[in-house]
Amino acid sequence: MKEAKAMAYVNAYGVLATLENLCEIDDKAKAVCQGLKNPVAICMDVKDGPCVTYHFSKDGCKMTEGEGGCTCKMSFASPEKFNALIDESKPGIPTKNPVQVLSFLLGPFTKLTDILTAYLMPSKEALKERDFFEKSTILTMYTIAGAICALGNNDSISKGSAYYICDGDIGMGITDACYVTICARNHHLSLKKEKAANPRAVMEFKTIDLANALFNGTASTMAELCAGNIHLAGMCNMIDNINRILDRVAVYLG
Amino acid sequence: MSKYPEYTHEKSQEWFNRALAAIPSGVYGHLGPSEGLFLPITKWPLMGDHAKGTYFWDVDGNKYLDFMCAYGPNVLGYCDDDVDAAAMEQLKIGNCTTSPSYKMVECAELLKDTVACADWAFFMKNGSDATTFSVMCARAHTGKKKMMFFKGYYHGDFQWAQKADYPGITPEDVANNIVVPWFDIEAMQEAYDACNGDVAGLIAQPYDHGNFFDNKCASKEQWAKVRKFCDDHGMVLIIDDVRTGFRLDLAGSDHYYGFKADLICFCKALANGYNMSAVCGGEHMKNTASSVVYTGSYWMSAEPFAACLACIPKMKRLNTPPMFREKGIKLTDGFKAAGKEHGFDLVVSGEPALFYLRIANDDSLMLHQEWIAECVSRGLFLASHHNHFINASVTDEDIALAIDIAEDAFGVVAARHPELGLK
Repeated sequence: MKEAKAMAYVNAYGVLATLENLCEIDDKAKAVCQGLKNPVAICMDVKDGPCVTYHFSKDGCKMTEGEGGCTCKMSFASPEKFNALIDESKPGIPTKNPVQVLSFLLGPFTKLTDILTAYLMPSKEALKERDFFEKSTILTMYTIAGAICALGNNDSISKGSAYYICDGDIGMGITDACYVTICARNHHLSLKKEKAANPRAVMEFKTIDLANALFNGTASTMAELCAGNIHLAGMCNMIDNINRILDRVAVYLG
Repeated sequence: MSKYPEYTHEKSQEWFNRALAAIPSGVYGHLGPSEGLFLPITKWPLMGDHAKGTYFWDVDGNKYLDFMCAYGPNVLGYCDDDVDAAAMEQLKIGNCTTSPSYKMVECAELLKDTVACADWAFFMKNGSDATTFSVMCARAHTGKKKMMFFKGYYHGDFQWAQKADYPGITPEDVANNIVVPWFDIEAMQEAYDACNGDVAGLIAQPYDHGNFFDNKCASKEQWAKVRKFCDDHGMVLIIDDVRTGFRLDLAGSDHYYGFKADLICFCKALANGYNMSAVCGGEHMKNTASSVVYTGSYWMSAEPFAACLACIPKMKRLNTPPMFREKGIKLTDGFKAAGKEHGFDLVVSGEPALFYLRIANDDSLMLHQEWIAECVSRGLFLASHHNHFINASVTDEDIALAIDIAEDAFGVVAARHPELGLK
């Protein structure tokens, strides 16, 4: 069962946070950013939920926690209302610079999220194109990593998993394609979208095809692990608990 | 240069590939690679062929000096002549029969005579069967619902013993589990009060022999306080001696730590690999145990009872617990010294009969995993994040060989990491 608050964090830290990576690797998304006359920093403030700001400029997108530096703001009365933005494109209430909110939301933001949706919920036809396939897999990896942290901190079952994760950095990645670091401190998880410099545990998928198969559920993590196609090292109990949260990610994003 | 050539595992891999095609995960659980114990997988034997004493051979013909002992059941040595002879003799005259063999009665009497807290014995097959029965008894005895556990608990894989985030487990399966830090009486009291005393009992291993961290031996004082807490609060105290049973003390690990459990669970060392487990308890729990509906198709099979009737007396004759302690200390002292020679800080923890190893030069276990892998691929079977086991067939020569392979493996890892400047 999904919890609305945890879902809101998944949407903020997992789904929308992947706009950062989308604007780095997709030409259409880059063009949308290039078309911005002025930087826009839109804050999404959810009552009893996340408060994050997405900063858009010609350079791309960057997410920060809190409302610092925002040029406009949209407030949501509840996690459910925020989740409706993702599921049904229902906006929140503009509470700062409503003109910018509406023009950005209906324009560049929608364009970007439409592109992101195409990658995160790809059609079989689209996946036949190798470049799209690879980008879709990489963006899914970033979304999943963000969702792992969001759930480890907010989903009641995943918090139980995080309780058993000791302090340290967990390196996750797809060999030669993309890497992330999940930082565990006092059972709180945070994400760095870079290769771990000094990990206590590592889980790396050998190929992008394997990662895709694992993400879409056509391959078994356990079987691939046993077959040696997933590189594991270090404190495997950290990975074990991350994998338990990963099961919950599938419930939330599946 | 290594003086022990590395093993290869072509046939192992072939068999394992067949296993993957026919069995989920190939080899599931702790005997296979799915729990992260075989890193990197290429260094490990995946399928065994035969075993004798403290050695086993894989399907490639590689010989391993084994300190995992099938994760515990090998207590006298693989294929012990006395135990096997008793089992084979029983097989010839009857095993799984409509009317159970009198060997079951003899076995229960033997446990009554051996285990300090035992006024009766109840038999099943696996450790999980035993812990589950014990928890049911605690609830039946007290009429209460919740069970208390110490942090990091492991009492088998039945639903109640897993955690809410495990695949196939619902929050409701574990809703009655209360977890407190080891020996934290204050936390126990708080947890007890928080559910208005609706606690049937505490189930715990005799000491914290969990994975990934240095094992922590208990003290008699700590257990005395827990025993008193349970008595004061009407809670049934269950000792899960599945892993440790008969390795610390033939009278039970509660006896070793100076107290008496209400119920105690045995499995691994009962019959030197023949499949049986048992719960023993005090007279005050006997009627409750009778009332619990619990049985299985093979639980009264005679062959394991016959094996147990040979195994326990042999452990008594050999006085195995002090022997295990002595061998464990000798072996791990040798490992530590060998590590030091190459600049490794090898930490040994837990009870010597079930020693736990960790290279402390880094906090990720990666160096440790490398060393373990090099040991295994040279014929010394250890585990990277699990306690080990001593068995009675280990000789001084075996210990010397183990230390030599360990030293060789330390050298291999040290040479691979000049950047660490280990010496």
